[in-house]
Amino acid sequence: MHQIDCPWCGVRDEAEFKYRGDATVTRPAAGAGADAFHDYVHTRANPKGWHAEWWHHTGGCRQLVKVLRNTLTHEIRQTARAAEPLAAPSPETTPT
Amino acid sequence: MSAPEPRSALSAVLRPGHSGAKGETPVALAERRLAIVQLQARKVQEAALAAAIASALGLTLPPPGQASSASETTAVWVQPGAWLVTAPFTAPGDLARRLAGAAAGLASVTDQTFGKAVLRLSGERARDVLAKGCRVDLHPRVFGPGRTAVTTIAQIGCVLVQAGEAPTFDLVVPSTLAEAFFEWLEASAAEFGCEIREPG
Amino acid sequence: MSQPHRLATGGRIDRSRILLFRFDGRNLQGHPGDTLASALIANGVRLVGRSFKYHRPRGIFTAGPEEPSALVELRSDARREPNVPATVAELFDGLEAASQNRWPSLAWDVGAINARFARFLPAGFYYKTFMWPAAFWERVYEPIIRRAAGLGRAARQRDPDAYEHMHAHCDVLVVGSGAAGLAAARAAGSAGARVILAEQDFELGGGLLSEPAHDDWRKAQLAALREMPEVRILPRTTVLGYYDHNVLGAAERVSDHLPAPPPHGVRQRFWTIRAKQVVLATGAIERLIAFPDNDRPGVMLASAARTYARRFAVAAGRRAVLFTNNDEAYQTAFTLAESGIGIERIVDSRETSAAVEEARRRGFEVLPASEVSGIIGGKSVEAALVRSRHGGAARTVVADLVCVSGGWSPALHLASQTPAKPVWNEKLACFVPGTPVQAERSAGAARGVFGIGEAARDGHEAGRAAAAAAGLEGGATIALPTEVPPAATAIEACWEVKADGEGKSFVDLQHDVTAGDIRLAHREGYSHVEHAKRYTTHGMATDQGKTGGLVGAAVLAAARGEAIERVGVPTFRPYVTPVTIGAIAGRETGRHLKPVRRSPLHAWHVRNGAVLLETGLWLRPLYYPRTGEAGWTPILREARAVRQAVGLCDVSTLGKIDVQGPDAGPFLDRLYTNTFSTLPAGRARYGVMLREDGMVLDDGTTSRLGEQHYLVTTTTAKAAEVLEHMEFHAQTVWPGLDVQLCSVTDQWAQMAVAGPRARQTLQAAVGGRDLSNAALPFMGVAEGVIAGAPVRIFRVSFSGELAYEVATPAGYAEHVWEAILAAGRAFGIVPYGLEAMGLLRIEKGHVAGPEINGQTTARDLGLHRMLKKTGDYIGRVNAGRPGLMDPSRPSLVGIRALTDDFDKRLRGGAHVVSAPEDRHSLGWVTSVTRSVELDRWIGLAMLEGGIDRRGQRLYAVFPLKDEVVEVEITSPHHVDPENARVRA
Repeated sequence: MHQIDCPWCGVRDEAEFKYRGDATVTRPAAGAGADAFHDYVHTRANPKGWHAEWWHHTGGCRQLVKVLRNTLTHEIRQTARAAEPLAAPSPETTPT
Repeated sequence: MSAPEPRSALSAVLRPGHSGAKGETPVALAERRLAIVQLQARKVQEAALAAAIASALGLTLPPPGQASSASETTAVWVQPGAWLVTAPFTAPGDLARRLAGAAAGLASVTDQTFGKAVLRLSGERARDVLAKGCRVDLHPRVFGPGRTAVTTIAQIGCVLVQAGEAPTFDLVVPSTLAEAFFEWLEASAAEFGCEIREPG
Repeated sequence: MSQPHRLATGGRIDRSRILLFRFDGRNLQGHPGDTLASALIANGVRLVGRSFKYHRPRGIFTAGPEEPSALVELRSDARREPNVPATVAELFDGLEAASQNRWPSLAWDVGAINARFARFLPAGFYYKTFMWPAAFWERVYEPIIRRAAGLGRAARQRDPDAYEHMHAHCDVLVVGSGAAGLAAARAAGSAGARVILAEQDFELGGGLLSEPAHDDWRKAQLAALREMPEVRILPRTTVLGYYDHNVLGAAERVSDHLPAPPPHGVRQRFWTIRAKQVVLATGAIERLIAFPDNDRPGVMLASAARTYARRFAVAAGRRAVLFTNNDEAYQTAFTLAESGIGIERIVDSRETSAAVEEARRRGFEVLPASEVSGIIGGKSVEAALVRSRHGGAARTVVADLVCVSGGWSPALHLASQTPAKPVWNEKLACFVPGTPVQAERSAGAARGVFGIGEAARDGHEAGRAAAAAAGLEGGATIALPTEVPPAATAIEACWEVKADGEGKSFVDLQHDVTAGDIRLAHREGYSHVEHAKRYTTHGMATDQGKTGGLVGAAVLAAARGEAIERVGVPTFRPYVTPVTIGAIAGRETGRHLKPVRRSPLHAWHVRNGAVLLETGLWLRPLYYPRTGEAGWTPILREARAVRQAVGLCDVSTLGKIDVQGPDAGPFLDRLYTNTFSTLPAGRARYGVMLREDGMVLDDGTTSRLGEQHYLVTTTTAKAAEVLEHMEFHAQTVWPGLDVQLCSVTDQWAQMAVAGPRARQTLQAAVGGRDLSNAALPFMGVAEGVIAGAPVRIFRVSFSGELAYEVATPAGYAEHVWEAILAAGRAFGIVPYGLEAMGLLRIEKGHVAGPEINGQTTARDLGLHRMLKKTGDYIGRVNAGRPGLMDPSRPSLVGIRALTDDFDKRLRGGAHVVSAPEDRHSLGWVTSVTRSVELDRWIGLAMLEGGIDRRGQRLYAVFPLKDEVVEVEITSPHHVDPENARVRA
């Protein structure tokens, strides 16, 4: 059961959140073309290990929260507001 | 023609009397019929909005997880830059108009008087009742009067406000789910017993 | 004589009270403090069940939740519960228990024939035998296997009891209340920590309950803990899952020890505990030794026999043999002897030990370097076969109880779920918890620190450290029990006694897995411990192999010729012990599975006889039948009223979102395929929203209420998803836009007034305000007052008729609804429900959920004129991908039955084909209805070639029901394609 530290509400249970996908992708500019929009929607690295994700606190303050989570161990190292950057995960701590 | 007496979303189920066990420490439950408005600051206007509300209503807009009151008006943080403001109900739209006047150009104002229902739960066992659905820790070491949580209780979105030491909690839920929420609350309180009081 | 095996003195039972209970119809007696198992032993009952696969007679093997054999059914009728270990079932007056998996009776069981054919039922038997022919599996094999193998029977009736959830938070959760657990809780509690002490037993004390010498210490700890306001003690509570982020699950058996829960009480409670720190003081579980017929009733773990004697004052036998590979088990011999049970032999697999000498000094007959090589007796042990490990013939030792101790395994199930990998300890011959990966520590026997004094010391340290890690330093020093450990000789692993002959050496009593099965798995290539587990089902029963799991792994290691630490043990998973579905569901059952959402007009609908339907969370009126009306009659009547006069429909469930702020218009321009920033205030516009992948997300009308204020209407089903979609884009994609979003679905009741007389009706209700076409044209928005309540009037139409939607703050819903009904009475107004609304929208050709199904584009739905040519919007680029622009994609059409015979019905999901026998589907039917305008079945369909097929005659086929209906392809707009009525 994930406990997610919402930057606004504090630590809350994952039941209050909806997973909203990869937080590393950015919507391309309007004129970027079909390939860029295809990648934006469909192409994912699907990493084993640390991953930046959006979790939507729909059962709370309704904010999108950026979560640095390990997809293998479920460890959460950091959470941030939508506008804030996450610290880059250091590769040596990425489990193999 | 003035507005008729509005009908509460809880009027079909919330009848004064006793429900559940005849325990030694029953909890008390009552509906609070309030005017409720959601106030949302425009971009970068949060400070100006706070100043405007403070000067118009004498009310401080509280930080996350808190409520503040001035006379009979209360503000509860619900989202970044957004508060639920409550006051005694007078006429439909009154509070919204007051706030829209005070916050013109600084905030979006949305009337939620009939979009929300408010239940007040109090008594020694109130925390134990809530723990059956509330995932937030309400222990006095980490929570207390004036503290609030926007959370989900029994699958229903709820703005929880600790209103007093007793402890007393105000539970703000969507009005279309108020009856379902009451059913859960009544069942959860049954082992202690529940005194249902007149709406206030 | 009652309770012939009850010892004259001792035990923790209350002899002053007699409890009456029944087992397989026999009236028996016990005392408060008994478990069902101890009471059965007291009454001399040894045979309590039949095994899973071979139907072998089974007795009571343990004295705790690790029990593999003595599984029974408790209670009767709706409260009947299968597979309860008799060793944890607390005795109460009137308890009904029954043995299971036997027919026709426990003593004479037909299924035992399975045992005769055992050589044909090896591990993997089912995989090998019942592969072919596939159809046989369902019809022949499975029913037979289900009858022959298996456990108890679940109740068929609805569970009459209530269950609930409980959420808890603490600084330190202590699991287990033995010496280590009590000391840990006390240490943490005295440091000021919020402590939860959970104990699966109904009495607190764990192993201390069998140690009268330490009972004063136990009582003192409990008294001290009860004085601490921040310590919560939960007996009858099994912590059964250790999840991510230090969240643990526990099941509290609140009323299982009562015939039925008290009024307003629950049967069980599922706890979700969020702990800053956890101390696992779960103790250790004694292991079996695999020897032939080690499952016979009367073979029992040594510590269990001691517990029965000490805690429950019952004699598990009269003449006992102890078979051990360790010193600790000698305490059982000493205890049993003190209780008057004869110790016929102590059989020790080791050459020598300190305990051998001690036992001999006390006058026991000890056979070192020896082993039990078999059992004589079927339904009960009559004798043990004992032989030297150095060879020679076995001799027969007459006994009715064989106590077995293969050593102790820490109960590390929770620790391994964290998931710290267990590590092998050669000295103790067991796995111990690995380095913690969550905020937990094991203490006492749970990490291989044995002995009461040592465990208490370890627990005290763990409790203190846990509190400190949770930020609470200090705490009182407490007196710990002193215990001089006897000079012990180390355990020597003894896993299996191999003997010739027919006897089965079980490593898993509950699933009937033998040491031979494990070797077979290895021979057949299933040599990984996880593969061997699945091939043999070893450890996959409800006890998860607690008494024999390691033994099986050791047998596998020997077969592989490797050290046991290289083989390992299979991963332990939640739940540690079985938990009822009721506890997991809590109150979320039946109608309370999801909260029910009610419209502000719900009470009116109920009072006026509406037939209600749950759609999503909502409870909505389907139709309002009049006396004598059935089937389609009320639906057609309501729809006809809308087409010919006027109807009133509750549409409060529509999602409504206030979009405000200086950038509200530009924001909506990016959200919708069409433009809203140009919409004048006081006007509404239909809009379509795409997902970024180009598929349609939702549609609805959006009104501009003010310069910086829009009101978006969503479909009922997509309300939450659309708000989330808006929030995601406002917060993360275009955070620079100054826009505020707020759901007002619940604030506003909304009702559709539709039909040729709608204007007259509403005009009468609203009073002075002019509703003429000039004043309020199609897609106009106005404000007004009805019945003294403020209303918003939107001139929009879903039915295709002249229509308005009237919104009022929800508290005035009934006032306004009643006022409109009163105003419309002269014009023949009727309320109409969801069914008539669906009929009308299909006639009109409006798309809804069946068409906007996540796989259709705006083009597919004939909405391509809604796609603006300039400016960015969500889904624009991907909607233009070649695959989505392919003209052969199925697109929206109308279909109409050629016949007006309503018995030849159209069905949603039917395929459209060129000829009745044609197997090439041209598309499918999405929505159907009986039409009031055309007096036949009509529908909407997604069809290859789409509207170009207009006029073609095709067939809608539904092979599952052998239905074929000839249809004509039409425009989706069956009614008023020119849109004249809505503008009337």
